[in-house]
Amino acid sequence: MAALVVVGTLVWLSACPRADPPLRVVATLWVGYQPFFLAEHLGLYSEDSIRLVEFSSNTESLRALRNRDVEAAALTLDEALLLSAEGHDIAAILVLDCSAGADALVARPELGILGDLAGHRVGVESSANGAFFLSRALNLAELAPADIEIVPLRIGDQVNAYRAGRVDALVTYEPLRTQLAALGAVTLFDSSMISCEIVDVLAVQRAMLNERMGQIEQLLRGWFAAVDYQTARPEETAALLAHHLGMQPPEYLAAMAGVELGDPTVNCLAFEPGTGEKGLAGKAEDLLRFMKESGLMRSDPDINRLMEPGPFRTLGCPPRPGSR
Amino acid sequence: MKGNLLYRFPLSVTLSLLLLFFAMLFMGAYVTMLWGAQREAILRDATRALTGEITRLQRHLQEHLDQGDLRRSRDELAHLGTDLRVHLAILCDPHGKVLAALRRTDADCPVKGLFHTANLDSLVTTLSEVRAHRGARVLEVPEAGLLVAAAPVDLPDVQARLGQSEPGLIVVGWDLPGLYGVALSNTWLITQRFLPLLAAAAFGAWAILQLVLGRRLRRLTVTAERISDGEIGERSPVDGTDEIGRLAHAFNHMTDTLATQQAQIADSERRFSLAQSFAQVGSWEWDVVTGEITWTGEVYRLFDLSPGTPIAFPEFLALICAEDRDVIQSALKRTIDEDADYQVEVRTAQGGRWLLARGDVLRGEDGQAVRMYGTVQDITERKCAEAALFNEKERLLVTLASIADGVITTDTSRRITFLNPVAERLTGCLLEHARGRPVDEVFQVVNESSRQPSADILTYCPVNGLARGPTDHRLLIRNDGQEFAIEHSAAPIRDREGEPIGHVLVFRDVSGAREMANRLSWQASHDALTGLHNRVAFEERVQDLIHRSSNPRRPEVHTLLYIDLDQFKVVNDVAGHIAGDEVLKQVSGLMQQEVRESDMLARLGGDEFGVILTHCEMSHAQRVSDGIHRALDAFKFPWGERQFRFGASIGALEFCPGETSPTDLLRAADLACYTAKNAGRRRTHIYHIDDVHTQRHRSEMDWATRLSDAVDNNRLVLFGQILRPLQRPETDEGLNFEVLVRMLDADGSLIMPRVFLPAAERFDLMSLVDRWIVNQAFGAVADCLKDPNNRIGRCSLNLSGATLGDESLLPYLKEQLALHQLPPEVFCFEITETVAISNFAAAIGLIRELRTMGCRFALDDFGSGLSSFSYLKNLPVDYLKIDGAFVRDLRRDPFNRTLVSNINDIGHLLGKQTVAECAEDTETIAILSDLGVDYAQGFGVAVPRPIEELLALAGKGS
Repeated sequence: MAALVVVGTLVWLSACPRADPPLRVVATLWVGYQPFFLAEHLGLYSEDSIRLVEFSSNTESLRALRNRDVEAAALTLDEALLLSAEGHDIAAILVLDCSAGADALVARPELGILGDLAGHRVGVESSANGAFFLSRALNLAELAPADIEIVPLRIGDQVNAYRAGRVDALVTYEPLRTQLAALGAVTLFDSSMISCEIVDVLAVQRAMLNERMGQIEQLLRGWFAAVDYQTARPEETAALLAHHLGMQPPEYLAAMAGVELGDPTVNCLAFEPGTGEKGLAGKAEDLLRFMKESGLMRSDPDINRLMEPGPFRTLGCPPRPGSR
Repeated sequence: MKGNLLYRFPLSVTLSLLLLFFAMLFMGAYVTMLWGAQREAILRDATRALTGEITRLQRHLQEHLDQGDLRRSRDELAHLGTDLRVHLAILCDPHGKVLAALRRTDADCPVKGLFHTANLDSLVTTLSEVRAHRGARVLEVPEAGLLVAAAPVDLPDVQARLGQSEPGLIVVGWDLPGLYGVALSNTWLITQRFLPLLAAAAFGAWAILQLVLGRRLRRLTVTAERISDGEIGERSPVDGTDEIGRLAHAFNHMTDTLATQQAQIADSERRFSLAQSFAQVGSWEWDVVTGEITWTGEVYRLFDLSPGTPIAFPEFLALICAEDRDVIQSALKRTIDEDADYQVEVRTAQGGRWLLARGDVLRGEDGQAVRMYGTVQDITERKCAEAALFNEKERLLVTLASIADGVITTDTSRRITFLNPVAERLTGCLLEHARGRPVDEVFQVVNESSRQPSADILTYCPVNGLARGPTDHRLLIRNDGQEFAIEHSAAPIRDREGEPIGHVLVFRDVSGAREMANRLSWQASHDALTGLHNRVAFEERVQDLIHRSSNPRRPEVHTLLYIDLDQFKVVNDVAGHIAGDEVLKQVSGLMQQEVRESDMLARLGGDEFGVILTHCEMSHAQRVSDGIHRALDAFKFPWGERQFRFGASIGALEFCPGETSPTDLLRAADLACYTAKNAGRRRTHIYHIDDVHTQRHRSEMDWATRLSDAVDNNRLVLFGQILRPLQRPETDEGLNFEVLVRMLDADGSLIMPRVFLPAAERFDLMSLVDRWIVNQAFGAVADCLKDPNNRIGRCSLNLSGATLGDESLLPYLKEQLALHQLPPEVFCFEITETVAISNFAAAIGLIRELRTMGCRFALDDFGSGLSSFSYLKNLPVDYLKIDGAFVRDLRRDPFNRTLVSNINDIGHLLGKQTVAECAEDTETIAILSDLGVDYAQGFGVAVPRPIEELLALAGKGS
């Protein structure tokens, strides 16, 4: 009886959960990040375990991650490299999407082609992504950065700056691209021309991999389920999320066409590339090289440490199709 | 139950667990209070912080709204998402429409949809208050789990320049459980850190308790348990001066005392067990209620079980011999039910022991039997002894009952303790009546002659205490007056130490024996028929007198008479032995009267008597003999229609003591008697030594010797006398003759048979003579018949009575016939009527046998001793030879003629042929022929002549 009391007490002690606070995940309004919200909408994330925080720009997201105000953030690959280079111990654990037309360089209607950009003001987020995309566009137009006037602009300020005529062209992405198009801006260059060179990843504080693995797994499962849902039912998804992004569903669908979502197949390729295929690490190296060449990066981040396939692997790779 | 639980485990464990339990109880209370206090503090701090936060937010948003930048406001609220405390953040217009929210998706929704609870009265009131007072407020809404802060904000597009407009609201909700979660987790943390401490403390307490209390108590307990298991030498090693130490000391001391006492008990028990073992007595107890049985070792031994074997009542019963189980059960039932004494003798099932069980019952207050206890004892030896004793006694009693002697035992005071059946019968007193009475009262004995009571019936040799031998001539008088001649003896009965404990009297009814002895004694000296003394007594008497020392001065003279009855044989022959016996008796009586009492009259045999006249001279003897003669003259013996007369020939002689031998004396008397008889009977001859007659007769008495010599020396000669057939003289039957015998005396003269045959008969020589005759005759006939011309019709031979009674005669005759190869039908054997009748059975057998072979028989001297014609019917003879006495006077005596005629007729009637003897002249022969007699024999026919001469005629015809 006494032994029962003792054992009972011990069971009670061990059974009492040490309730973790919710895993905070920040994401901007980028269309490629929407499966997170879809998952929340579908009830895949409980309020107690995952809290999605929506910022208006990646800059805010970076700040939150740097300040360790959040545990995870949806970032572009160059942003992740940057944080890693700055000494933040983060891990890229999931490929969210790669831009296949969703990023674009839009300009006032007067500018017909890329070459017309020379001497004009181009609003661009002072991010690697923006610099990379702009440099790729300039590269196509055979222009040098010096040929244009670069206006650093936060993503949230783009529409206002365009309206006010403070810029002639903008490096933008969905859903702002659709909004700008509504204001009369035309697309000179988009990421469909450099398919999947711009990659978004989910970066987490590496400490969380040990402490919050359960929540991270839940986050990933929710992501994949939402991606499946969206692929299977694009119209329903559009109806649910278009308003959130300030779009009409058709616009949402159009914007969505510009991204390739990081489903298990994509992630498999990214984290476990076959021979002759360029995985995420390879793309990061390419990007890093570009950033160094363009002076965007001065230090050398540890790419291998940044890449963390562990959480994805716990979910398992789907059977790989023959070839892509 | 609770008590049981508390006392179930070791004291140190229970105490430690109780300590732990109470510590946890206290800790629980402490943690609860701590958590409550923390919650209170957290709520206070959070209220303060939220007030600051809402104020800051109010300022920022008001700024954005003033610039008309709703988007920025929205960003501002969205940015609150990184603050985990924030659960709700909205900006709404006065109509409750959400303009911005923590989640952008919540925008444009009604405010109330954001609260997930219905009961928002306090919130609504607070919001009204905020609007009314235009000041921020913080409110705890436990229903929604929120700490809600609300602040007013002016919305630019609805701003009424004209005056106070309805403000919008900023509402921020902090998650209360989240806030409290910190308190909870802190409390939890403290608990977690504290618990091991608590456990350690409990363990420590346990260890100390164990050290101080538990281990010592356990040692004490172990010791106590070992002692209770019987290890009495065990001592508790616990020391110290605290209570446990003192308890241990007291315990050890107590154990020492216990050990001492146990040793004493064991010692006592050993002695007890030894005593039981020696006495072969075990003790037992039986708990009637539980059925438990307790035995001592001796009981186990008695049942051949190893000590300590558990025994229940059924097993106990199984140990008892099956026949005795009921005995035990009924005895137990009687003891328990009726309080009877429990005492049974039973046998064991195995080993065949006899056990005596005794016991008593112990009863509870309600009178119910609770327990039985008692002893059991091996009484096998006693039982065997009892059985042996019983058998011995039984054997003794049966023996005593079986023997023909009467046995009486008495105690030392001569009072009867036992009578056997014979004694009962002889005394007429049954044992139950006799027991305890003085022996003299029951066993009344008198002297046979004096009739005086015998006082010494229980006396015995006082020196060695041996039984006194039978004393003769005692009479036992039975209580009904009948008397028994007894012999008795007495002996003392002694116990082991030789002390007399009583007497045994053995006696025997010897009435029969004594009477028999008397009779034998009488018979030995008396003649059974006449009651007179017999020859033995007579001779003894003679001897006595002869050997009696004679008085030289006046010599004694005694006289002896030897009396022979004359004509007695006739009575015997004619009237039979019974008549003869009667004659002897009467004659004896007559003679007895003629002699004095002091004289001895004795029957010496047959018809001879003797008288001893003591102190009597011849003159007196002469008178006595004369008296005898006179008495006999007067005596007539009637038998049937006849009367017989008797005379006596008496020989008398005188004798003196020491003169001669009894044999000579008697021989002389006999001779004198013989002389008297020869002198013509009915006279007395007085013997003298030089008496010539007597001398001559004495030599004649030697005929026997001479006859024997004649037989041995073949000085007997055979003669033959021819028989003439009268009725058919013309038929030639061959030579028909009777063989006669003569003795050739030493001087060559022939002696006629009437001289020597009486001697031969008297001295039993007839058989010898007869055989000689047969042998010689057979030889002569055989020689004669060797000549085939010789014819012998009939050869008759006389057989005497003695010969007829000789069983070897028949085989002898057969042998002789076979030896000489003679035809049996030639021979005819003649026997006298008297001989045939007196040896009737033998005669019949012989006659039948020889006749079967072919021999013939003739009845000789028929008519002389005539008794009955009925014999004639039964005697299978072929011839009747009519006695010569009837034939001799045939011419003159018509009676004889008639008699002969009748005999002849009867003979013919019976199919027999007749022969007339003594046919001495022709005239007689003629008469015989006329009478129809078949044959005639006598001088008138032919004189006897030597047989050789006669046989020579065989071939020439008669």
